[in-house]
Amino acid sequence: MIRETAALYEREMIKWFRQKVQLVFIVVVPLMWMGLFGKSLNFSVLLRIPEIPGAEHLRNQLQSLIEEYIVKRYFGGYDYFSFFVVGMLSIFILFTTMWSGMSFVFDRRLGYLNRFLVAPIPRFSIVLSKILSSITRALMQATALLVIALGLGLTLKSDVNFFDILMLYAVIAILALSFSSIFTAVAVRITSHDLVISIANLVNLPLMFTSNSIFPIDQMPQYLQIIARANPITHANNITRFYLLGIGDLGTVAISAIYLATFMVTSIIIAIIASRKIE
Amino acid sequence: MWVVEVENLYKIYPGGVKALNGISFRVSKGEIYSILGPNGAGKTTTMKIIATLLKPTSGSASVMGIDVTSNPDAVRRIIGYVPQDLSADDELTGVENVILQARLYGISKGEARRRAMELLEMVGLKDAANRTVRSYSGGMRRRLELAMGLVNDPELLILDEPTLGLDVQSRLALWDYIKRLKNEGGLTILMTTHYMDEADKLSTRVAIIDRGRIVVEGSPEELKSRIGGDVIMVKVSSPLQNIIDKIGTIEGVLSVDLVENLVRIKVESAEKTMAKLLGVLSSINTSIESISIAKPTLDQVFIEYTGRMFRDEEPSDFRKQVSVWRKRR
Repeated sequence: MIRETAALYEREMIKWFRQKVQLVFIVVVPLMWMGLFGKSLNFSVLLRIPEIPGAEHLRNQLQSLIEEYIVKRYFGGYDYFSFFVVGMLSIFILFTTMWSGMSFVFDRRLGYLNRFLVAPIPRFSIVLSKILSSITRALMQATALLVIALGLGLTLKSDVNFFDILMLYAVIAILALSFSSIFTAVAVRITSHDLVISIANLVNLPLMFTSNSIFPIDQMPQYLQIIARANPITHANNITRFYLLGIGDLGTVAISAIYLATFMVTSIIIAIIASRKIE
Repeated sequence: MWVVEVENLYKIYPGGVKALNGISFRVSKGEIYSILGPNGAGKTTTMKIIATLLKPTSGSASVMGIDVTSNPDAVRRIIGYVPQDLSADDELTGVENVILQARLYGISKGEARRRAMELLEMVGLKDAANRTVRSYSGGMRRRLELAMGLVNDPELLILDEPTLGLDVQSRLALWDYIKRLKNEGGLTILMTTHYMDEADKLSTRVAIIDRGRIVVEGSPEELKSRIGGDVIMVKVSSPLQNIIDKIGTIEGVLSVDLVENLVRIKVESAEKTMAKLLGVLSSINTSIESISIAKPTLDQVFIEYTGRMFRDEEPSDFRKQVSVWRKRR
């Protein structure tokens, strides 16, 4: 199992690194999102009351109330960009892993899959190699995003330490593992790549907008809040924002961690069941 | 023990297309056994069932006594399979493809590399080993596929249309490799082809398959001798029964029948009978469009046993047609 999976994983990686243009995209795409989108959506500025001549006292009182009850609570500070960037880490995990089924469909179409199926290997090792390569790509993408965002002005909490970074990577690895498992499982019986594209298009924006990646969820209408709280991206963000930006509390983090762990286990089970259906 | 034993194999695809209609055959050690037939006859389906890629609807198949449906992993370990569609990853190099395949059989990385180079040298791809497969010619790709099918030192090598789409030189070269595998390695090979000459030149035994059924089986020589003489094919403007009857009375004619719009005349010796035949045909007052003499070939064997010309066709299955129409809408 391990040997075969390693061999198949190596193939995926050789193929990926051989396409040099991929390495350009891994930098360019986050640069676009952070530099253009992230910098234009500066919501926290809207929460600053301008100077009001003759009512400085009232203005300052109001501003401190807004700061305490809105800004700090939801965004952790007036730095919306950092809030956005950390939310985008999970979204980029989704954007990278939602294509993990594609290589499976192409392996089938181009006949490579038959080669693997006549070899005496567990079917799951084929699926697992796809999942692992997808996780690797997602983690590389997230790292590139983080570095670029730091250059563009991402400000982490002042006492950020090694453990916080470790937690960040644990969370995005779990998220990547879950999404890759699901998207690979879905592709197992698909024979047309058009369908994979349709599925990816169907889920990408809804999953982004029904999470707390761009907006906090408290202002959403009730039905949307329910969806947002079921969205694993919301829970990933709860944890990453706590460890990187200091937003939220340990109680929320614990609940989100349990939710994510459950999501991960369910996804892996789905992938295992799906791998039995390969033919 | 038989290397391959196939018993009464049926395969009906979802949608009702009957691909196999009760196929049975046995292959003994060291043979090259060819399944010959037009496209759509059920050759690839048979190969896929033996290679554990497809489950039969009923019947059984085994390799070295191991059943393909109940113990597929054990069968996979002892077979090499070269599919009809190219299956090497064209973004990888030749040697990377073979190494990957070897590692899927539990061979360590170092051993896999050594074995890969050995196999690539054997099929004449040593110099191209580090080029990506994308740059390979059709013949090189087929040879690479052959090398990939041999990584686990199989008891049985399954070749599905090994020379499909190759030019004459590449085909001849590939035949040489296949023959060498049998002669030097003592390998048992089960292959399909729709080239008559390929089955004739390579096989120890041939099974002619048509519409999911084996119509005749034997060594190429045996099959050809069953025709029992030469064949003259005459195309006349109107092949009427009285013409056929008249030809039948000519001395030396063994049988006359109508294959599509050709009069097929089996004779003891074409040279001896030809003059008389021409005499009879001109006396009937019919215009001859063409005339040809065929020495016994597998082509003629096919016509003899199926009553049809050998050409590619899909099985005429009404339900399949209906589903095709539906899809077009």
